[in-house]
Amino acid sequence: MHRNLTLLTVYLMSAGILLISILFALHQSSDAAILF
Amino acid sequence: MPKDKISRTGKTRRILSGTLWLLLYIILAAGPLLLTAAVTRDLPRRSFWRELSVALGFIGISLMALQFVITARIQQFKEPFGSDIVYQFHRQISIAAFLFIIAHPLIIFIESPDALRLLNIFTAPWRARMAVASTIALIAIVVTSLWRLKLRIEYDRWRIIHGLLAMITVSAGFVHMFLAGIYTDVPVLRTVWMVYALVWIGLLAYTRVIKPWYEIRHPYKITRVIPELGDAWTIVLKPDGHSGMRFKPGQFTWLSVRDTPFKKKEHPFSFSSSAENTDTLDLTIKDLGDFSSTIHSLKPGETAYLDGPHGALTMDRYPDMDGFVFIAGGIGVTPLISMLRTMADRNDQRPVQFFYANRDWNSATFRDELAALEKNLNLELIHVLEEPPGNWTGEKGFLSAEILGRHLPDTRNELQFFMCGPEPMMDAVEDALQKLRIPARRVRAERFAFV
Repeated sequence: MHRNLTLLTVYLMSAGILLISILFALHQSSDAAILF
Repeated sequence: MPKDKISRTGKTRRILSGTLWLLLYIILAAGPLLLTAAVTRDLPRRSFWRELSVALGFIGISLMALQFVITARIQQFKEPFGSDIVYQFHRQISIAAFLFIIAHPLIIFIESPDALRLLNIFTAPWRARMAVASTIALIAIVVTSLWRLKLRIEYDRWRIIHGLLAMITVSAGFVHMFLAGIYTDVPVLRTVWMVYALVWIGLLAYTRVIKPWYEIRHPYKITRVIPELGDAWTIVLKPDGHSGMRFKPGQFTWLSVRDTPFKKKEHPFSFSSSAENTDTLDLTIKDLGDFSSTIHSLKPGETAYLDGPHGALTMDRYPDMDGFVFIAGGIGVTPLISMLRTMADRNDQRPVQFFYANRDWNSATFRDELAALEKNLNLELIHVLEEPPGNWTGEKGFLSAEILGRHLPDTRNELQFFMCGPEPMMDAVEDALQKLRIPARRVRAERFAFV
């Protein structure tokens, strides 16, 4: 219950942080300069 | 203000502060990255994979540094969640941080295999040496934490190793980051990361120096060591030269005996005395073969140091509840007897149903006192024994959904559940409560083992 909720929070946060990292890489990189 | 309104306000405040802490956590973890994106538009562009690698490295080091905040036992931070959840979060997010940090060099090596030469610490520059040190320490943290028992690392030793490895991971990680430059050469970003590093060093000073120093200035004397049923011992502590601490029934403290608190050879134990008793504090400890086996050799007059109170397993968080269900396995009875003793002192006559699971009748610590409390309180005691005596008419076997279902009233969903016990029992009971459709928000749990 609480364990599952904690795990879900960790999964969601990790996924969110990974997404931010990917967006950061897209934003900063020459490969995807056209996107931003 | 009416009772239920006070409680609802407390609950709203906890939810709000819990959400705010989580938000702050995400901002602290990802904030530097967003700031980097905002202030570095003029820097030369690199490949997507290189930037992703850098992003994961930044995030990884932030998450690792934040682990020190999570485990610093800051009550304001732990209060909305409870220690159990905070430590679970600590363990689970560390796996995410580990994966982010490991991905950082792996992506670089895959994109430019030439970079593999940086692994040769004899020829590599210091930034690479620091990265290698940080990564090896991190791998060692994960291995020693996940497989501590298999590796037969004793708990006290593990805690020291864990702390040292974590310090190496973060400090070497920070140095690597500053030496690697590019983004950390930008003044505003360098300042932000410097602040991170300084706050981290401050936190280390707080947990390793200031807190132990405070404990030494506020010692306790052991006044009695009382043998209990079930290989347990109660030590009675009296504040020595200060006014002691007030705790809420169900909370726990970290105990150091025969060692200075600076050594961090401390162990968490629940208070077993009434929270209304301000003169002395009781800790009841079962001999489990580790540190706890030294408890019976403690003598009155010896000095003890306490770091507490901690924990959110307390009925004081639920003043509007009409009744409680307590579930204890073995020595998990300690926080619950503290709640019952407190209820007796407060003449609190709200109904309590107490499921108490033990191996056998002689393992049931406090069984006589519980029987006495049954007469003074609105308490229904349900003993569950794995190996009952021949004439036993009570519940037998392991605590299951069937046993719980037989005794719980129809109003079960309106009661607050507290449970404390060993891991396997807690897993089984959590599943049983789920089967019985008890809402998760109604269950508060505390597990013995942090690792």
